[in-house]
Amino acid sequence: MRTENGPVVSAPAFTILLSICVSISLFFYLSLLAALLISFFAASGWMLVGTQKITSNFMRVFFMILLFCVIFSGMSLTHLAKTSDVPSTVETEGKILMVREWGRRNAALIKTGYGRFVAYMARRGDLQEGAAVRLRGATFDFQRAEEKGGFDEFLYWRAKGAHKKIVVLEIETLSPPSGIYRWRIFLEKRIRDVLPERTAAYMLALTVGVRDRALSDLHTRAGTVHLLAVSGFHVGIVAAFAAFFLRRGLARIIGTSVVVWLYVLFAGAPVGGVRAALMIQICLLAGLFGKPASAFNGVSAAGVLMLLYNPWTYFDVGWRLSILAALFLTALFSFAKENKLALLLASPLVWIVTAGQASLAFGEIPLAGLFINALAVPIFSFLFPLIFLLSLPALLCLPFAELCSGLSEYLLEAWEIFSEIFVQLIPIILKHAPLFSWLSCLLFAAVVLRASGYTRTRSAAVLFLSPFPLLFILRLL
Amino acid sequence: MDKGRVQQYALIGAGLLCFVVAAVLLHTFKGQFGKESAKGTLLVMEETLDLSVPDAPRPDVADVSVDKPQVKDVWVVYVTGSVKNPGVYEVPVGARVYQALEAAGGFADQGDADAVNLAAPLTDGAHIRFPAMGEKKAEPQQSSFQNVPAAHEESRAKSGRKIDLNRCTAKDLEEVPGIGPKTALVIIQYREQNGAFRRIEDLLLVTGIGPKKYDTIKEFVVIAN
Repeated sequence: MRTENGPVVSAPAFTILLSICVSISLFFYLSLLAALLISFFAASGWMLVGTQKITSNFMRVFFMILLFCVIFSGMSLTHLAKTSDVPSTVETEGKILMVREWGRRNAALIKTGYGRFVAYMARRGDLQEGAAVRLRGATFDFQRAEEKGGFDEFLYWRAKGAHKKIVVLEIETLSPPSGIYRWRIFLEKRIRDVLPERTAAYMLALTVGVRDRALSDLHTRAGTVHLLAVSGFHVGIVAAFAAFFLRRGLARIIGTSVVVWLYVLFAGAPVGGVRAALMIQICLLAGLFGKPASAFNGVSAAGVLMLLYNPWTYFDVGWRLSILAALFLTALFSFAKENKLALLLASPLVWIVTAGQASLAFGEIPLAGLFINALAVPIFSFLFPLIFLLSLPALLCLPFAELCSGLSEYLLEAWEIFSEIFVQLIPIILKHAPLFSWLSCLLFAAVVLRASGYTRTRSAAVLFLSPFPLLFILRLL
Repeated sequence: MDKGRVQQYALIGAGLLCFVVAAVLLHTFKGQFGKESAKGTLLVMEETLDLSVPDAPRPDVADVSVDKPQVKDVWVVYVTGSVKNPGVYEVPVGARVYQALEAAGGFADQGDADAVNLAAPLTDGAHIRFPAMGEKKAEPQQSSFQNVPAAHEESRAKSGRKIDLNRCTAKDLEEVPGIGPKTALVIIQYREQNGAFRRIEDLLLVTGIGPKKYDTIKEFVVIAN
């Protein structure tokens, strides 16, 4: 049964996540100590206001959570403040971790002994993910956004673990891709070679995390581009399949964990996928030790772990959208799982919760997404596994490959036609406006407050009073 | 009032107090909002354009790790010597010596206007010393703003010394292998728009200078402290 005795009982991990996020968001504006103190008091206030009564071990847990808040926030702030001591010219060996299109060129994330560098280079066949390289180049700091809301090269790449960008003067490949990278490249090539165009584009997005530009544009117009980024939705489907085929007990936990992590690694370890895998892992481990698994706290703990590993992840739009959606959904289901209306409205509500952040990051969002997502999410939860199964005959050279691929192509085309018609019916594009952010914040806060053990009265009071501190902060900013 | 209710009010009160303390802290440090707390910013040595020292050999600073020059609205220069109001002044980006002189209130009575090339370009963080009348006669070589290009050319021809990227002219640059009139002009324009070069590698940020050209040029240029 749900308890309503505040975050100490219901949302300890979320409180720690909140504290870390507060301290990180103040990093650029205040000294480390001030940011740490504010996050400490904010976490204390958050827990105390939500508490109804002091139970026997309340104080012990309260101070333990606060201790974690201080330690983790301090660690995150120290990590952010750390400067990298990189020479202006380096000659070193490294490994290409990621290659992605960057305008007419490619951007390659290279791991070296000096840390991770980003190189913008002309496209070259031999510079593949996983390849070992020797390079000589000049290092430069990333550029900050020229205007508020503009593309911030510094935050974008720091969130991916890069310290500096490097202008490559010389680069040579020492060895071809190995390990998981080799298998990713093999699968990508195989998909492109044997599957028809549309099915291949979806399969590439689902399996190796490579997005086709035309397909991305189509889903962006419909507001369903999140379906192409490996995230909780996809990892959840994979985990559900794995758990279904494995027997109960330790084998199920280990098997599901292995399948989920392999999938995430195959997909290029996107932030949303890693977040989901961590959450599933936490819930599986909780089950193994006989502890009650709270999905809401599982998501929060996954967020905490990711921020501890790299606090710059906080500035990654993908991470923010993923964590916002996951926290909202798990919070909603934690107290409304019996409410069918809430379940039906979950998808459009997630759209509203992420609209503020999405419109801020991308400038605009299609209103059609609000309605299409209500259908797209349940449809694709069946369509994606089906497409995968229908692709297997072609990928594995089995009989009926052409028939299966044709059927897959037909289903996807049908969805695309439906989606395009829907977009034409609702051709409204919403530009970013402060109203979005307010609406997203209010809805998110309302659900999270309830999931954190706040009573209805206290949740309502906090929501009613929240504009005042928000205005106060905005005035200071 | 029962004990439970008192406890509830106490908890809410304590919680609100925490929020108030957080708000007070936020308000106290609001002066720092917008500044990036100098995190990760590396301090660099002052760049001195001392009028009393012409073109003394300067160390190559290619191995010193410094940040990329930031785009600024103003440059800050330090003006001393025979001027009315010596001190630190802000001048527009791309300013010349005469603008620093104007900011310092013009020449003092004993200031020697002939000893200085008022049209010479400045750099951010420069130290400009204007010599007095007697100084010039006593030490005629101590005026680096006198025909700077000519001095560069002559001395370089004699000693094979490198060109200072922050003080050279387009004509100076054209003498460097791999740099034609167009590239020289682009380098000068980049310097005027972005401020002084902090290290030789910054040349790679100039449009038209790729890895090959950079490798050719880098041996012939230097950044003076």
